[in-house]
Amino acid sequence: MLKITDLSKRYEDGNLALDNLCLEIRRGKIFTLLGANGAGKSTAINIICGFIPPTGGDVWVDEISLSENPLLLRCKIAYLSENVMLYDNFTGYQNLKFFADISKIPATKGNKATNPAMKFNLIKVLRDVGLQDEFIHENISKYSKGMRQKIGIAIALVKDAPMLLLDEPFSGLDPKASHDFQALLYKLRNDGKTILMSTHDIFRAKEMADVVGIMQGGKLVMTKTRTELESEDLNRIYLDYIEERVVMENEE
Amino acid sequence: MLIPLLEHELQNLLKSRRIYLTVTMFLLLFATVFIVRAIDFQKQINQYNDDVMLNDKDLREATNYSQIKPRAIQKPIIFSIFNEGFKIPRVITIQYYEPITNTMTLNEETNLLYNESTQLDITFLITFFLSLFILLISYDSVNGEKQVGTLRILMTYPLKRQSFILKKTLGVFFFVALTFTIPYFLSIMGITYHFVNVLSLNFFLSAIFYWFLVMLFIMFFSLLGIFISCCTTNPNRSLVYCLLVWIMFSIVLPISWDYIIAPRLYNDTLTQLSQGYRDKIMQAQRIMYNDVPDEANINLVGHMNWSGRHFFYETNVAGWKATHEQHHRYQMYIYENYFPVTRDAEQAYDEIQRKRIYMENVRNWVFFYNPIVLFNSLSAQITGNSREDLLRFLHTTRELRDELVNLGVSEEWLLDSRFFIMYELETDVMYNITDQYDLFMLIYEYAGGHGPLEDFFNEIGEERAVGYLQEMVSQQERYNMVLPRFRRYEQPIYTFSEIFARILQYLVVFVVSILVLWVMTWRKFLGFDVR
Ligand SMILES: Nc1ncnc2c1ncn2[C@@H]1O[C@H](COP(=O)(O)OP(=O)(O)OP(=O)(O)O)[C@@H](O)[C@H]1O
Ligand SMILES: [Mg+2]
Repeated sequence: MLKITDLSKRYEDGNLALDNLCLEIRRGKIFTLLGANGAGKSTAINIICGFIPPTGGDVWVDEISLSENPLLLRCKIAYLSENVMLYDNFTGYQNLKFFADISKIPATKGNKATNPAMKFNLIKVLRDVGLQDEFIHENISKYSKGMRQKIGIAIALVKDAPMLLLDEPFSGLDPKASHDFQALLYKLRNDGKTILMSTHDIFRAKEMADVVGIMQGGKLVMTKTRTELESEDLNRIYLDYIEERVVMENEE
Repeated sequence: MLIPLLEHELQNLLKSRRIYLTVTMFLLLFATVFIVRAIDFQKQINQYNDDVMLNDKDLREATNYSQIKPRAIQKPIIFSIFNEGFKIPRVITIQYYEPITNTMTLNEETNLLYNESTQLDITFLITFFLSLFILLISYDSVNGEKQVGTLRILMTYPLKRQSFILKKTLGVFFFVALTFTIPYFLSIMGITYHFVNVLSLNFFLSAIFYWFLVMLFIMFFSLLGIFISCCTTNPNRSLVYCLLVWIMFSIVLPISWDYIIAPRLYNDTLTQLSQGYRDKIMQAQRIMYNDVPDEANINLVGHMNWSGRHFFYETNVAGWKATHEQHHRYQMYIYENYFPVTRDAEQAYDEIQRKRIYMENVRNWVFFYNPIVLFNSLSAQITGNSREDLLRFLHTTRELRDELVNLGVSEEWLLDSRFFIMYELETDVMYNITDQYDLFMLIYEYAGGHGPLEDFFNEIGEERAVGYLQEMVSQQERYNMVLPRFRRYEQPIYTFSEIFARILQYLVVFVVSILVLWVMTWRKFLGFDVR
């Protein structure tokens, strides 16, 4: 479960990238974030991941707050960027092994440190995400973008985090790879993972999402569930918001 | 958590290509310098043995006070294979009537303001090349990972930013430490095998301490590189910064201090001091050769005596007693006039050295942030090649000289040396021994083969000559010459606590600067844009 309350971010140059963003995703749902370039999607994801500090507001994942326990929150999230970059000198397997080794959840009061990645058979995970066997022990430098994406999702998988943050994961994937990736995401959702995904692909957003949100100027200006969207043209709605027709209508 | 990180970092470093280039270059340099210096050390050892043998022989064969020139010989310091430190004269000649001089080294040194030049030893390799090598490894360790994009994934793991910096630092540190440690200890094994007869516990102690210092040095530079890597997100730019910092640290700062700033600060005092020293030496020379009062001027008289002809025999040769008295006067004159001046000269020399030590200390404090300068001075202390050690050597030789004057060379022995027996000869008997050629040769050799003796013995006559010969033999038996004991300079053997006390202040500075750099680095990284 992810909850974002009044999250705002003003960059050093005064640019207000997030303006009191509020958002809630229930467990086991896919939430797709739509929005024009510069709407603040990546900023939101970056804040959740802890890459940049917010200027206000908070984020909760499974009752763990970003402001109170940023380190523990990181155990709860897995992140996959548009362009998965890995250690070039290592093979796909070695990369996965490294990230599996450091997925340890630090000890807290009453709990010992555990590593959820230990329960995975890494080779099997690599096969599951669709990596051909001959590439498993091949250097990353020989991988295509799609293959790197697969390693990326394998890394997210073995981290075994309940929350997945995907920033434009489909960009640059061929149709077959996109299809496979989509299937993988469905599988993850069925396993009970919560997924937040930013994308520019309206068709896929509508097809995959349990909830679709549109961001505009750092705010979530619209959320609609799958059932609400069934009879509507998401493309139309999106363009309306982007071109600020809706806002203008409201103002009039 | 740290162990897989570290393991990964080391593997990552091992797999990059530029590492091989730098490591190979460093190892080649290290091996070359080590071998060259080890060969050089072997030469020094041979030279030392020769010096000792020669000195022993000279002393054994010396029959005359003027021939006593024992030398204080410093054993070559085995650690100098790694670090030369300052140039120290290894042999200092001690003459009875002369100040302790090693004419070549001493005079040269006083004329030069800064006589240390960069020597190609292991310390130079470390401060000059290893620092560059470390910076070349670490310049992109943070921003490079950001540029590749792995930093983002890494930052979604429950990993404190300090741990990340620690991983990076330790990765570079362990890697470089290994590249240094392996050849270093291999070379120590080589030394142990090859020079086992000159090894002491001190050597191993110094070796370990030196190693420890290098580790601190590597730590400092690893942190410096990583700090620079955190300062900019562009690896190219941090490469330029690193190179600039390196040029600044190892070239610009030391050179500008040595050749621009320090001369301004110290030139006058040092010139004054060395001028004072030279004046004293000149004064001593004048006293010894020019200003000798006539009634004590036996040396000059004697000299003219043996090199002149009949003209001088009659006028200058004093009788047996008179000669002794004159010689005694000369000796007293030297004691009273010449020695004080030479002592002053020695003190002036010490003063110059002390000034230099002071300057070096100031330099160390000015460059407290520069580990290269610190490192050089620290290793000079450890290897026993610091300026303090030079002074210590000089003082030991002076003690030896004083011992000679006080005990070894007795007046009685001096006065009975064969040289003076020849003065007994009277000119009027010299004409009668022309046919005693063998006897003449015997005495001639005995007297050291001075030139105009031939004429002398042409005039002395057989009877007198035999008489004097017997006199000489009996004198020799009576005052069997006992040579002063000859002492070799013993290297000080530092205990651990001594070394530690000597360099504690610098160690503290070193460690503190590492800690400060560490704090600066991770604070910098806290604000680093990891996206
Ligand atoms: N480091 C930064 N400093 C200043 N402003 C920034 C910075 N990063 C992003 N911004 C600004 O913040 C706003 C939101 O950017 P963000 O990258 O979150 O948009 P986005 O929705 O992900 O866009 P896109 O679809 O292009 O990925 C933009 O106006 C952008 O110019
Ligand atoms: Mg974006």
